[in-house]
Amino acid sequence: MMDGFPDVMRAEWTKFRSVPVYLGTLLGAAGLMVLFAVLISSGSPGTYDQAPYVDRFRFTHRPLTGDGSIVARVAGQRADHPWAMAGVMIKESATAGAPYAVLAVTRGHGIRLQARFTTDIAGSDHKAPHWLKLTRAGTVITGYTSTDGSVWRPVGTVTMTGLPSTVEMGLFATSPGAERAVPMRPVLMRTRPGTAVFDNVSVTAPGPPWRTDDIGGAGSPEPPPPLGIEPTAVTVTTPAGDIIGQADDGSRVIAAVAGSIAGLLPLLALGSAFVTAEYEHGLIRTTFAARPGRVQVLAAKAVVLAATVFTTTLVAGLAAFLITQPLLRLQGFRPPTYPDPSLADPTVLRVLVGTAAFLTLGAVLALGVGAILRHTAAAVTTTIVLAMAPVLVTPMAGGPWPQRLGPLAGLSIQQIKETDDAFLLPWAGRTWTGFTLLCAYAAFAFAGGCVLMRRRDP
Amino acid sequence: MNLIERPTAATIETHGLRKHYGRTLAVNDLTFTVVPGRVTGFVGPNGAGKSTTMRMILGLDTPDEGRALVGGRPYRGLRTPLRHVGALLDANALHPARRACDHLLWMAHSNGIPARRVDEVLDQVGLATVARRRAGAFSLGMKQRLGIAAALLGDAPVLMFDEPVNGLDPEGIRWICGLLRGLAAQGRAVLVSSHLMSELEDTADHLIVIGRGRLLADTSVRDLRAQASGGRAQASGGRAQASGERAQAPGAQTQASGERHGLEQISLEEAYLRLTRDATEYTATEDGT
Repeated sequence: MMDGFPDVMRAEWTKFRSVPVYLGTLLGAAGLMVLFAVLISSGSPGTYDQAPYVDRFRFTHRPLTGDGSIVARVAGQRADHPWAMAGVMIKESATAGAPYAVLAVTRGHGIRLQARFTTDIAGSDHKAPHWLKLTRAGTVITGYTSTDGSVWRPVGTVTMTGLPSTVEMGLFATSPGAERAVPMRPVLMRTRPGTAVFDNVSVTAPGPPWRTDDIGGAGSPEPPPPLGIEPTAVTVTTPAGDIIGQADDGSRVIAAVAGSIAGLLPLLALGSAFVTAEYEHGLIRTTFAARPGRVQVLAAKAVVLAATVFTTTLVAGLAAFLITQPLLRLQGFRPPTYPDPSLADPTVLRVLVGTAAFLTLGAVLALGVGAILRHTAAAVTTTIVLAMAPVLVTPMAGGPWPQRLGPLAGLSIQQIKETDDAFLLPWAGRTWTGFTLLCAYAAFAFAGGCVLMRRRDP
Repeated sequence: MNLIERPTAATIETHGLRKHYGRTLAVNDLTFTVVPGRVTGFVGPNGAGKSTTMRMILGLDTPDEGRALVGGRPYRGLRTPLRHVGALLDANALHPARRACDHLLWMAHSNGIPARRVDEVLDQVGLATVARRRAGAFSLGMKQRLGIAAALLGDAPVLMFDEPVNGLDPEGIRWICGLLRGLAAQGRAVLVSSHLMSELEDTADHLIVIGRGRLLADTSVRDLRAQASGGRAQASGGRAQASGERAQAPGAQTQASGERHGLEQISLEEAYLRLTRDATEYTATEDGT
């Protein structure tokens, strides 16, 4: 297999560099990467262009005057995002941006005590069902959790200076989606509404009746369910909304790889054509007459393709990164909220190198599909559909699995903050999972190509 | 010259080759040997299985039965096959956007052949001036020359050409005939296919005639001529027998008389037509001569 492999690689490299359209496609992909990065870095800061926070959710609440507490059991939570919350809240007023403190269960981050868009205290790892209690004593808010409603463990306290004597106290749910998407990336993932089912709701002092408000315009198509005078079971549904302050979401780095998908498409065509063109021109017989080892030839093609695509896209990514930094600063992405990223940062390197690897694997996947199908149009169509179909069906599928299982799951390698975006959402917190899946796709297509090339007459 | 260090004997052997595509039996129990030092014509009507046989010799198509050996070894086992066998299968098998010199260069690289051979063979086939032109812009005749250059690249002791005369002008045909004879004279085994006997009769020393995938004759040109002349004398003998051995015996004497009567050209063509008549795949039109 390795016998004479350098000769075969040299031959395949000569083939590659001697067809102008191959080089043009490669450079075109690199150009698209830089172009998208520049365009996106010249736009508005997206989510945070109005205010330095997002405060949008459905709030079922009643006023509380003086000290007091609210207790509820989150019987169930339905939401997609790991940061979707369901819990209890004390908020200065029922308006977006008003100071607040919440104690909530999340889908993927256990119990959290959060306040004023900045404070985030981690509690236990429990998910729903779980008991939550939030108490107010002067300006001090304390959160407790319990598995049974009788033994309470404190999570932490937050101090809210300037809290008026009458505040709003109640139940809420969030469903992060577009809000947590980095503005640099397309929002292609749909999240379901976040629903929280509460029971055993109790507040210290009976008072004015409960009401439900959509804070920050979190309008729901379904009207809030009617509430009793003193309800003990409440369901809160937020179609799309979040409570989060503006923070470094990785935009400074992600902007550099904003052209990943735009760059991928020509590279898929390149990968396929590098082998299918030989079949269409009858050249494959000349190739196999020169080197009878089918697997050796396909392996040499893969190595040459991978080396050229990786090098080119890595350079393009680095160029895009360097070009976009001054543009992003101009657009307001600057310290202290958005620290200047450094190439020495392992995360930055992972994103840039990982993106080049993602595009390389895409090209190798396309090469394998090309070897299997032996027809340019068929192979290019198949690979592009394979890559992009999950993006198209996701809004209809209503779940993250099409995204998780498609080749684009490899974009998980670009994840910077766990809170981010569309593509990463399916594998949030698992940077390498999607990437490994893409490796498997590429390996599978390559192996399939090898098997069929050996078995079939060219 | 460097005949001594050539690693393989200059022969092609096929043993009971059989290959079918779907329901069509393309090659059926085909056995023959191509020996060095002469031009062997590989003739048969269109669809007789010539190209399929050549692809099997080159390890491209896998035979259903039998085997093909080059210098006693299966082609797929050769480490640098272009140094053992030079082949022209399809002159159009080119990437149209690739320059002629680059087409030869990748082939040279694949077998560790020095790059200067590219210029040498381009010069040899008369394409030196257009070496940097894209192959897609070539005429069929130029593509044939490029394909022949590719076959010569490895300086191989065994050479195969599938219909190399296609697309060549009369001057080109004369050139290639001289080239083939020259290659054989250097001690190489040269196998040239054609569906027209007339293209080969001045070039080939030996003929392998097939029809419908079967061997019809494996004979020297001289013997076939003699046999044809004999057959003509017998007139009512019907079609000639597909056997070189039978034709060998009366060979020498009748050949001379055939030439004297100026009949040999017609006879050879006719002998071929008789051989292949029953085996012609497409009988709607006769080969025009």
